[in-house]
Amino acid sequence: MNDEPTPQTNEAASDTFGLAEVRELLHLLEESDVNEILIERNGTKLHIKRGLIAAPAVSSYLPQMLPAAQHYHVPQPEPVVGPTPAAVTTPSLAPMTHAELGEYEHGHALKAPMVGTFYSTPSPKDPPYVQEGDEIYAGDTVCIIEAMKIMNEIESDVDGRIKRILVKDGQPIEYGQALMIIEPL
Amino acid sequence: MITPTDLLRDLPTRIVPRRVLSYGRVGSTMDIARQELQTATAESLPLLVLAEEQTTGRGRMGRQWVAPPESALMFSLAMRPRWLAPADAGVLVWLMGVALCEALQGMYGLEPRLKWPNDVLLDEHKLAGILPEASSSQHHIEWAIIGCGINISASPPPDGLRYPAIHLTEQTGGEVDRRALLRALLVRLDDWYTRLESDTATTRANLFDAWRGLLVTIGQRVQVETTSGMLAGLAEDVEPSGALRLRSDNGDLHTISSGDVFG
Repeated sequence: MNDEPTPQTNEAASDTFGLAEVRELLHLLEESDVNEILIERNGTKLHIKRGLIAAPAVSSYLPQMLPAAQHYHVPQPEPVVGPTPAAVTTPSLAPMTHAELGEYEHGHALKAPMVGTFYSTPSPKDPPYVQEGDEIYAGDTVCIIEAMKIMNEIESDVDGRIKRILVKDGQPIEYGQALMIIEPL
Repeated sequence: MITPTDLLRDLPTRIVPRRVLSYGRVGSTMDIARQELQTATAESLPLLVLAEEQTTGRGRMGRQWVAPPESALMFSLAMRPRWLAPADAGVLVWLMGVALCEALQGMYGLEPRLKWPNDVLLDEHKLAGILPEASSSQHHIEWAIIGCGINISASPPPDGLRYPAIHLTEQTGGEVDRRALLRALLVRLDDWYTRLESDTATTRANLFDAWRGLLVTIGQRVQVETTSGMLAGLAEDVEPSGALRLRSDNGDLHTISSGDVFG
């Protein structure tokens, strides 16, 4: 994933908010407790929002910052096989990149209605329920979330096209975590 | 063969089951239940699908589940518990596990236990497996099927098994009346299910207590295989969600909602 976020605005980019200006704003955001900035200038808006909840499909993960009690529901870059796993991590609390932010703002985020493990297929030998680019309708099954051995098929709540799948097969996920971005047809 | 008429005759239950389909040989009771759910009216649910033999019986993650004809009790219970939130789907696992343990206690005086979260054990061997499937929207469960296979007069050979198995006649010392056991189980399922439907919060708490009390896993040193790797440590307790609380050997506490436990 790009470490240098590409700025996205609610409207078409213009000279009003040049790259340097956006970088500076991002820098300020990262160093402050501010979660969201909305600037409107000459009819052009710049909207920057920090990703507060489990960030989707980010490629870097910060070490667990919380003490002791850890939810074992988090993605790791590579599966760990062995007597004990590597340090359990949680999704990064770092802000979403602007590319991700843009997708959130131009699509519907389908969220996990429960804690569990994400599966893209009915069983390991089956094809995935959906892939990026697929058209889906409300009520269509898009994935499975497993918890307590119950394979829970999750339905889409909207019609649209799968723009991005934000989680990986076998990835532990949290309640409310964005699973996919669905854009309207 | 257990026929619907035999099974339902004077069965003292209220709604479990409202309809029974009984087969000699089928692919999988789970598949039939799923198909029936597509057109089933509310008045015909919960639906019980029974089979004496399954040709494509399956366990979790597509694992094969086979048993000689009439050597097991194999069935699926299909329902639409829309009063349950997706996050509460695990309650249906507790429901079947607890009801089966109660039926075995009541009929044979046995002391079955549960291996977290859904395997029924007798004498530290697996007697029965529970395979739950569900479909959920963002706010509630649309439908659920709880599959169950109980080893009655045969159990799979140990080769290739992930956990040692046992069959019921090994413990009872005599022939087991499968129909009587199923009827006893349906009575316990009906009791819990009707209470769960009418007073979900209270019954959920009661069911959790009953399930937790049957868990042999609590207090054991275990290994847990998760999609992210193997964890080893002490199973300290379960969370109210049903997730397993494991203290790993390096002192970290893990909350595990999905995984296979090995003692």
